[in-house]
Amino acid sequence: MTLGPGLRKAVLTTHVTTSVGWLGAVAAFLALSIAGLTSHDVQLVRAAELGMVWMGWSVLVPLSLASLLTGLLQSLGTEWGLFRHYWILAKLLINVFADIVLLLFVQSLGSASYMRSDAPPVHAVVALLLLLVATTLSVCKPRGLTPYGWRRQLQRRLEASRRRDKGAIA
Amino acid sequence: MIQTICIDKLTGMNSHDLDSAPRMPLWVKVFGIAFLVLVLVFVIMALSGHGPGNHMS
Repeated sequence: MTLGPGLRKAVLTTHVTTSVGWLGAVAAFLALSIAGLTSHDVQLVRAAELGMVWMGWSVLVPLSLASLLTGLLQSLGTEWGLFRHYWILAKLLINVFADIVLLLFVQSLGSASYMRSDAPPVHAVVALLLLLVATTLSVCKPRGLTPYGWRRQLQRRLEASRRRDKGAIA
Repeated sequence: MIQTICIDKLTGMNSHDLDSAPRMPLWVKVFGIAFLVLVLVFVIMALSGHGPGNHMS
């Protein structure tokens, strides 16, 4: 399956938007969780906790799933592939791990024992670091082909040179 | 041997390239170890009662 240029750009734009949006939402969640944990103002703590619950379900979860889905579409629908380059594989691992942890812990949002523990800011900091690594990988695209990607590249070069050879003979 | 030389001419790659896949870059090894540690920490925390199930009530 190969995406056309228009669709490819649309999926890429959506992927960048949702991924960077997810990063920003985690930063906002971190700020709320710190406010909820450190403030002595009961109303502020309650507001922060409510904000975290709403943000978890209506911003973090949709953005994370959209980021994963558009990332899969983007890699499988283009020449990049999903398992050919280490940086794409690393991003996939980060995204899947972060999604699993998020989906597990978002169900705890609202429970007093979770909201009043230091778990929310710790989770947010780890998620922020992971998403920063993923963003850096996307921008830098460090070199490195997986053994599968290397075999595919070799196969493609052989096919291209055979075609060139046939053309020269004809 | 003759076949190897032919492939080299066709692909423009040297015989070392064709013999084995390129080595895994250092950043991949560093990332792999760090990621594995993170997953292990998560699993250990979950098994030791700090997992998501512990907060659901």
